[in-house]
Amino acid sequence: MATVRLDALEKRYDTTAAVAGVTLDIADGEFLTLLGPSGCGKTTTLRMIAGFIAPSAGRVWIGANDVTTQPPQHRDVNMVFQDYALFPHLTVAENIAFGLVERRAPRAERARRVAELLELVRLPGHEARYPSELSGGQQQRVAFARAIAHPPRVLLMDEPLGALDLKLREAMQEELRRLQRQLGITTVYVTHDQVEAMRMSDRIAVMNQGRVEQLGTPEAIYERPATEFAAGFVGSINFLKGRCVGHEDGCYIVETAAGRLRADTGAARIAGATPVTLAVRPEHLRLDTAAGADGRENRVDGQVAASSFLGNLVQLVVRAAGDLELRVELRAGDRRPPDGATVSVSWPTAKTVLLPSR
Amino acid sequence: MMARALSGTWLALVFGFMIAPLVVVAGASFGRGGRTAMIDFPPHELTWQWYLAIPGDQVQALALSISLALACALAAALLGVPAALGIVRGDLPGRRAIAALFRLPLQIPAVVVGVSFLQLYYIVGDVIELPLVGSFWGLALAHLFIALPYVVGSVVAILNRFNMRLEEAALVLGAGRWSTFRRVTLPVIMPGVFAGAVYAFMVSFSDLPVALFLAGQGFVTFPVAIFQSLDYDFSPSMLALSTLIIVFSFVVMVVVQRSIGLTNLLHTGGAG
Ligand SMILES: Nc1ncnc2c1ncn2[C@@H]1O[C@H](COP(=O)(O)OP(=O)(O)OP(=O)(O)O)[C@@H](O)[C@H]1O
Ligand SMILES: [Mg+2]
Repeated sequence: MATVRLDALEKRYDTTAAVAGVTLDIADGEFLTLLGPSGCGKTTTLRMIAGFIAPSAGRVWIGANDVTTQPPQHRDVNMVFQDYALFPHLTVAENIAFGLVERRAPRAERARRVAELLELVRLPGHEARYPSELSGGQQQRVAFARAIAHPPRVLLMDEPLGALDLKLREAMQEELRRLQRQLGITTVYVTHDQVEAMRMSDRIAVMNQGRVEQLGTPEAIYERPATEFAAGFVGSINFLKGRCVGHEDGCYIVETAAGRLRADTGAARIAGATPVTLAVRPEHLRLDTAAGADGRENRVDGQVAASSFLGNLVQLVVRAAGDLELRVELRAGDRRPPDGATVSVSWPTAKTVLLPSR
Repeated sequence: MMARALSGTWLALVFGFMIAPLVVVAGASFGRGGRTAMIDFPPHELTWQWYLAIPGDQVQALALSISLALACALAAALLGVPAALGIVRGDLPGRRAIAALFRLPLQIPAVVVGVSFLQLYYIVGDVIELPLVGSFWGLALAHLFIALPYVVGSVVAILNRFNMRLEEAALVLGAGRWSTFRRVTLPVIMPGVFAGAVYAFMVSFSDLPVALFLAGQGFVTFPVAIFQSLDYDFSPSMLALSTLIIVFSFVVMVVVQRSIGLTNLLHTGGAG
């Protein structure tokens, strides 16, 4: 087990930068997820850690060693691939023991370890099967067992659950997380599925266009996004454009088309009348007629433009002054205004985040 | 119903066409032999006699052809795999030209190949003072020339479909380049190598035009022996020997189909 440090890591292809300067410190035993849309450089970053791709600039450290120029077989990292990459000509037992053979472990010890791992991934009795004789989920487990047979210092996983159906994927998310905790292996995980990232990670690095937009715990990223991109990528959110006109009582004051609004938390260092964006999650918005504008609440009036019933909740779109659209989520039991009704939407300033405008 | 009957008839016709020459040879090999025709089909009277009368020099020619074909298949596999790896994986500037070069022998008529090698061997043989014409290695080399494209072709085909993640997985499991090749790459491309080698064997074994030029006194391959015997001393034991070869080829084919078919099954499922 070890820490991983990426230091201004870059990978350029001709004209484009696949990874444009990523700096990350990953703690010993941590489960860190690289989360971002397709093409943002997640796989490239992971493959630079593994040593399959040489960075154009920057360094990779594992523990106390600078491994930037070391080939993959000397890095003591291991990887679980999206298509598992199980050796098709070898049995499950031979697949799992592949790295042990390479390290010249005695036959008896290999057999013992294979049995132990199959127990761990809940596949005992499958030693003699070939990969083509396993289901997708079983192949995934074998790939994981193979990767940890000789415990690596760092485990890398590139969308390892991407090929599974939703139900199996959720089961495997829990399983992988359980095993990772149990073994305490430093893990870098890649996914573009924000729910998966939230569920599994100690910390998430939200990536966009080759850079890390925000690094933090799932809660921090959800509740206190640092950029519009990070806010929009994780969960759904309302954006309100405006200008920051001041700061008082620990609150930013922002002039928007829908009036003067306040935000408690802000990632931006604001000077003068800077263009900013306010962000608030739909579940923090309430409809009430009772005035709650005690300075700790924001308030906007508008008309219900659309509503949809989603089982456990009702989603409303409220159109306010200045063509502003607000998504509001109400619990299914709440009073549901008809379309066109004039409503007053309010939410706590504590749940309002001020972001620099793009 | 109609369509099925039609396609059934059609299939039977094609099958009959494919098998007719073989049936004639096999049938006639059991015939006593007519007074007028050399080939007695359908046989008037059944006999084993021609099987017992196969001349020793023809058996010798057959043995020579088989060892030549084996040498050719082995050499083609040993040279073809690195060549295919270079074509698919290498970063040489002239990769496409090299790939085209390896297909060239397929486009040259075999007779021309025979003449070319004859000329080449006269020149080179003079220089190194070794008779290449009429020698085992001389002919083996010429057969390697016409057989190599088959191995290169089939290995290139399988390498193009090769999942590079397999090699990366081996690398992170601690295997070096050579170990990765030996334990992963080679076993995975083996069906392609094997199929190419079987082709190479058949190309060498059945070659007449090249061998006609390069055979010599006391050095005669099986096809050349048959060809020559047709000219002057035809005997139905030729048919008997041919029948044995047909049976042997059929057995080999079934075995190859079984083994390759099975490995293919293992290689195409799920992962990979
Ligand atoms: N070998 C290459 N040559 C040129 N461009 C490349 C190469 N590999 C990747 N890229 C580009 O670099 C960018 C990042 O690719 P990468 O595979 O890291 O994305 P990703 O975040 O893993 O995406 P996905 O979620 O689709 O897997 C992409 O725009 C891609 O087109
Ligand atoms: Mg990717």
